Amino acid sequence: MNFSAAYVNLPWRLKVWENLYTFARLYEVDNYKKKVTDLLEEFKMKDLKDYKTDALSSGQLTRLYLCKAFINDPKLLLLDEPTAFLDPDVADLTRKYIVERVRKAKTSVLFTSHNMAEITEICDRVIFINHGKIIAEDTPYGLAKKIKFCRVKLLFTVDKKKIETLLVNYQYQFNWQDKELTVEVKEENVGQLLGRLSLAKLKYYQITIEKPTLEDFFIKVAREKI
Amino acid sequence: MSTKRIFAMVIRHLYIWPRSLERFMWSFGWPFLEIVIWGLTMQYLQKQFISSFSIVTFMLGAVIFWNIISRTQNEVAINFLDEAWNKNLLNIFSTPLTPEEFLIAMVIINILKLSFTVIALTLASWFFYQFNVIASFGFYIPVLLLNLLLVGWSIGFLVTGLILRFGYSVQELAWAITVVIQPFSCVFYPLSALPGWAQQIAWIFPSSYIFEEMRRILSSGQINWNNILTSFLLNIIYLVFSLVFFRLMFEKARENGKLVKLN
Repeated sequence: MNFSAAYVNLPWRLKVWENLYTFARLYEVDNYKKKVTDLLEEFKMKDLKDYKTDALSSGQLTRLYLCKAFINDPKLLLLDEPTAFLDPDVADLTRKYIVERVRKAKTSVLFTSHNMAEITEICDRVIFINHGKIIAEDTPYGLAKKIKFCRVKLLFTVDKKKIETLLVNYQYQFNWQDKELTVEVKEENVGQLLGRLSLAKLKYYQITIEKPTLEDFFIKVAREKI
Repeated sequence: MSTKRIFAMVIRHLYIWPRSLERFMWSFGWPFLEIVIWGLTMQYLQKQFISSFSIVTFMLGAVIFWNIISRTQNEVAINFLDEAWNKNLLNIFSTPLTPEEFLIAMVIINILKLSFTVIALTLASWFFYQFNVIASFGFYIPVLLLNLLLVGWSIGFLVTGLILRFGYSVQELAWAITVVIQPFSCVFYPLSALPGWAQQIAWIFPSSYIFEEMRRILSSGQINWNNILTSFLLNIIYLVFSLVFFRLMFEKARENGKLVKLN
């Protein structure tokens, strides 16, 4: 077992290699010097080996914590928001490291995050917990599929009034952001909506259809519960 | 019990020892200054009030012995606090490391560092004031030293347990507790100098016996073994109590998730 979390640190006055050696010894890892060298290589930390821990940036720190988390080849790894304080670029790299490493070492990971896109990318199975109770459990795709509505975004330059009348008549859920119209509609009814618009000779310029995401599911579930 | 894990913790704390200024001051700087200041003060007083026995040696012996207690207590408590300040408690205690192994590691670090402190103090008092600790206490050194260490460990484990229970709000105890105990330990004055009620309290402190015997050895070369034995027995009782207390507080902290954040 091993773990990494945003609310724990490693002693900041120790150098990177000193911290990793200490934990390798605590986990009684065989041939630990080689193990540390390999992990530093894998997480692109080799040049930072002699740096003091407090001299590292938050992205480098996260990689150091991950080296520590993988040092005993854990069968079960707990990662509590490992990308919480990272910029999108480093967060993306970190996710790739984790996925690659986990695939290679066949580790089971319990991963917590508030970033739904991240969960969709990394996890095989998702459990939503609200006030200590499990409220949903499925694959990320399976959960997102429970939301029946998708969002159709259309760009109009004219006839705003006419369009609104049509949408109100057919009882669509919609809102405007300047010239961009967003309509929430069941997936199978997207064609019907577009058909009605063209019958009324309303011309749109761009069309985007957004499928429901895990984030939509999260928002729906969280708001229903509260 | 794994020696590998114990030494992992010992080495972790030895890594920072040479490169941390405050730890250098704790080990050498402040104790050395104490020796110099007390030595000078006592030399001056000795010249003013000519007396048959040397109050300088009493003071130097007291300073060295007291440093053994306070450095020992400090070492245990502050190394634990250091893990907490570094938010590292959860990391080390989610490895197979047990609290007992952790305490043993603290004791080993303590003995290693303390030997350097004591050697430095012995040399300083010999060089500046011609007070030779080794010649003065001779064969009594091991029993005195053992009892002093036991006092330091019991207080250190007790304070660590208190910090686990009450969090950072009581971390000052890591430094302050020895100051509270000092008056009843009769470090710089004989037990008879205390008011009657305080003498009653002083008897429950194993340290008071050791300092009484220290002065007896310096003035007469004799030792009262009964006092040493009493001190030792009290020490053992307190040590067992402090270990049980630490263990209970550790379990409580773990159940309540306090190892994440000590507050």
